[in-house]
Amino acid sequence: MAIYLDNAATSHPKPEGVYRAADKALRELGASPGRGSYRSAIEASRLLFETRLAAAKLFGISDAARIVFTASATEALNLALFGLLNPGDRVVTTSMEHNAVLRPLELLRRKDVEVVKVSANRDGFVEPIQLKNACTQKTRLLALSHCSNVSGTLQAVEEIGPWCRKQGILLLVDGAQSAGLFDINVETMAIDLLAVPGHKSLFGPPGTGLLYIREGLQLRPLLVGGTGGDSTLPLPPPQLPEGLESGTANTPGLAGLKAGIEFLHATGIDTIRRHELNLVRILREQLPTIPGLVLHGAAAIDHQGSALSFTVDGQDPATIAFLLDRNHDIQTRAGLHCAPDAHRTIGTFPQGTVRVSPGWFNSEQDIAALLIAMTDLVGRA
Amino acid sequence: MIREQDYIALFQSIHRVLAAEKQLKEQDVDFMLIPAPGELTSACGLAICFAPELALEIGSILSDADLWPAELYIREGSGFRKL
Repeated sequence: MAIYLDNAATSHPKPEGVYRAADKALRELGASPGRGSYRSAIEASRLLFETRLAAAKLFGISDAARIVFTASATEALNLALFGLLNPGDRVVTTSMEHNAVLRPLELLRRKDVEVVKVSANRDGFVEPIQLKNACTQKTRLLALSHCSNVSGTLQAVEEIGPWCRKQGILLLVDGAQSAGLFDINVETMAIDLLAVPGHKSLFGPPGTGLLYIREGLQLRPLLVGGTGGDSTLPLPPPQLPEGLESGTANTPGLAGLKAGIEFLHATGIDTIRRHELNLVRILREQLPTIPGLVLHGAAAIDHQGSALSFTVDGQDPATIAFLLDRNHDIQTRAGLHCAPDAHRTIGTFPQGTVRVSPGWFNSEQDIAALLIAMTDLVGRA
Repeated sequence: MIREQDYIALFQSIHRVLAAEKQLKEQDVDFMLIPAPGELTSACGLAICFAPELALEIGSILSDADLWPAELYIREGSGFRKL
């Protein structure tokens, strides 16, 4: 059986309850939430309501109505950026961002939004003082990934958030690699907008994600259409969540997401983090013992998420990932990981790296198999 | 379904009406989640219906949960009186 080490792309496998919940919603529930007042339509609405409550509990959100479901973290980030920013606004971001932030910002830059990028260190860490110094001019938004999808480097959101709040700067956090793995509390971290994928560390199916929007912030919708409510209004209603959720909801996906979050609550985020970071610790200790291998991760384990990268002197990362898959049945991801600036920062552009991202369902044996395979590959080269 | 003098509470969104339903279920009070009557405007198509003798108790539960209805009506004859 293949060893899956690409959980930073999407977690696999899912907890058994996720498969069952998605299947049950599709097979038995059927009805569309918010459309109709017959019992199964109301039951579908309750399912979304309960999924929102489960997600709110995970992130310390007091009003679950401030959570809008999206198809992905990418959609959530697009909704936040296009929904908030206007020509003349100034945004500060970092060199560690994913294209889900970089590309919307590039489109906005072409519409007279000023975008300032702060460089990270070679280990992927953005010094908070550098961010603060970049915000000396009037700044509307700071957009920051909590944890890099390339090096796994964790940023100091708990320091930056309260500082932004004091300065009157809104904070958008891309939680793609941290939500469900690290504790995120939107109140104590002073997060105004939090984008989260449902299908990574929240264990939901692909096609799920969410955006938290702090009370008082009004975003323009990305999509307008049917919301199931008052059809006489020329536009969707302003209130959340319906106002930003036009179109039929992904009920089976969200049923799976609810089961995924319940699995997370039942297992314990601390337990999951300890397990995943133990696997990462082994990788950090053992991979550099392979001749010619260079690790690209955080400076220390206490700033490390569950993804990290490596390169091997003189070898193409794509070839390494290909051979790991073909000869050893080990799945990793090579290339630039949709984060070209991050690779420029850590010195691995344009060839990229091999990224390894263990998940809850990986074991120490999986990591040992990767280490044996890499020793074999490097020995043959 | 709706009796004379029953209260009809309307909310701005499905999320809020379901939040109200959850609170009332947890407090074990008697109410019905019903389709909003056609002659009343409702943003979400659903309403909470309850007997007049429960109005104080239910009002207090909803108020404590910050879920006061957007609109409140009483069934009178063939129509509704807005409160």
